[in-house]
Amino acid sequence: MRIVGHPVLPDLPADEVGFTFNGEPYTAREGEPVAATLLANGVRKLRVSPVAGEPRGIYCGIGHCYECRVWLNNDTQVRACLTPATEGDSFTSERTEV
Amino acid sequence: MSTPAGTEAFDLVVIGGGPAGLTAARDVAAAGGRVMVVDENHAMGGKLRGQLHEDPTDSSWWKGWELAEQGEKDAVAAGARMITDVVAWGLEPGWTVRLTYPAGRNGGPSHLTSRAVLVATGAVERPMPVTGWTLPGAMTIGAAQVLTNIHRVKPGRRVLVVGMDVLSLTIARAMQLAGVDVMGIVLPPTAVEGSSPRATLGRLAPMAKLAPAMYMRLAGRFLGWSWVQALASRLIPRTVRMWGIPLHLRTALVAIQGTDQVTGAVVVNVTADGTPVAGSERELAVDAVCLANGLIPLNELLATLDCAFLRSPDLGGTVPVHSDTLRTQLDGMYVAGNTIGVESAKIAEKQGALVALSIIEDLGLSTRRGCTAAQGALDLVGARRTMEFQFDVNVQRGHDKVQRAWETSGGPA
Ligand SMILES: Cc1cc2nc3c(=O)[nH]c(=O)nc-3n(C[C@H](O)[C@H](O)[C@H](O)COP(=O)(O)OP(=O)(O)OC[C@H]3O[C@@H](n4cnc5c(N)ncnc54)[C@H](O)[C@@H]3O)c2cc1C
Ligand code: FES
Repeated sequence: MRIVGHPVLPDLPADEVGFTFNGEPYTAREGEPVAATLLANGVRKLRVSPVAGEPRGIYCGIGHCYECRVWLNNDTQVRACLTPATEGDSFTSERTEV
Repeated sequence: MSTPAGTEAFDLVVIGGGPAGLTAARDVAAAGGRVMVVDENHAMGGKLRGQLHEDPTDSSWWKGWELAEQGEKDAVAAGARMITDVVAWGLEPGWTVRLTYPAGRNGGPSHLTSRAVLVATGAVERPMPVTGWTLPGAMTIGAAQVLTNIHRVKPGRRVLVVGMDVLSLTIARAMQLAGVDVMGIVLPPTAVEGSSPRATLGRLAPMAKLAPAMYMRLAGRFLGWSWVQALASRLIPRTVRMWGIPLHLRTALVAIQGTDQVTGAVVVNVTADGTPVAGSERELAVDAVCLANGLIPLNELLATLDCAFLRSPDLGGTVPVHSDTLRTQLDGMYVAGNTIGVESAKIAEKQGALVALSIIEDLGLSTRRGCTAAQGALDLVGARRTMEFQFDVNVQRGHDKVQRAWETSGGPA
């Protein structure tokens, strides 16, 4: 799903940051939000709604709606459409009790 | 940073680093002001970053991404400081700007104190609730713009766009350029206000008259005027094409389908006034649906303060009452950009330059004699008149109404 060889815009730097989402490994471009990396790999579902268990993914893409929230390192809830991964980050749909 | 910013006093804190905020920050810093810009994104530039249009006059490209980088560089070169990944959540008179760092890292000061504050928080999209709109793969047209033009990821392999306005047409084109199969553009569900074929074309037609250059660009060299002709005719054609993308002028969305993510969309034929034609429902196989229902100014930060608001459909929603020089009723509080009305990036930038003049005058920052804020306000009205790109043709009427409210209110509280 990555756009390469865009007719107008220059190419972006290559992938270089490793992180996991729900235990699966992914490689992000430096600075790109995790939701974009995941979509590039065909992953749209970021979490399920707490009450009805319905799937949720990117909606506004600009940090306004909070539909895309995921857990970062089991510690903080972040918006996947804004938050870039740093090397070794673990993102999950749910928080696991420790 | 040598001293923690929380213990320093600024002359100006700018909330929102879009074209309005960055321009104001640059000019006030250049006049010797101590300026801090905060933005919740990881990079400065606001909505400008995602913009990509072909210039109607010379076929060059308006590359928002490059303009945003330049705007940030210029502001920094003038001496403005910046914090990204931070949300401003509270304003207290005097002025204190409360901050939070939602990503839990890149932490910084919990608040900033400043003589002046500029709210330049831009606009957001109006939601379009419809069955299935919460499924992964259903997103706003703005999300599609950000994914395609900034992050370079396709919103989907086969995409349906819902809603016809300047923005959705532009973004459909951007997706197509990036290799996405844009299978068509249809109208919003009939329950959405003003979504009938007649109402939609009624909004688009005056723009075609005022801004033929824009429609030339939209229609493209290959398609000539067929679409503009369709706007002018009384019989609304079923489908016209733009860059090969079908615009279904008499088809509306009914529902988005899928279990774990979007797998399709149901559409229906509608009459000119938007009544569904029984038995015409059909299913389209798509993996993404992009919803466009217009933009609304974002200014909720000001709602907690003692400042009057005014509703204006011409401006896209409710805006704080302010002067034509972008001062609010509160001493030291300023507004600029889409937060006071939905307009193009070029206008937002001009508003940034204008509000900087007001701030420089009020804070007594520079004695250099240049253009006054009052002159700047007149120039802005002139610029609006010649703009080739407008979200609403009546935007100046909206601003005039705000100005009357300002005058009636007697200016600053
Ligand atoms: C989805 C979308 C697409 C658009 N596409 C186009 C287009 O193609 N062409 C065009 O001419 N215009 C477009 N516009 C209009 C656009 O708003 C203007 O072009 C221009 O970007 C407005 O500039 P601004 O500085 O007012 O706000 P923006 O560019 O929106 O910048 C505001 C910034 O403030 C930040 N912010 C908001 N609240 C806070 C807070 N509480 N704390 C910290 N930061 C905050 C935002 O994240 C954003 O970065 C679009 C608008 C939207 C919403
Ligand atoms: S998609 Fe709306 S906040 Fe992330």
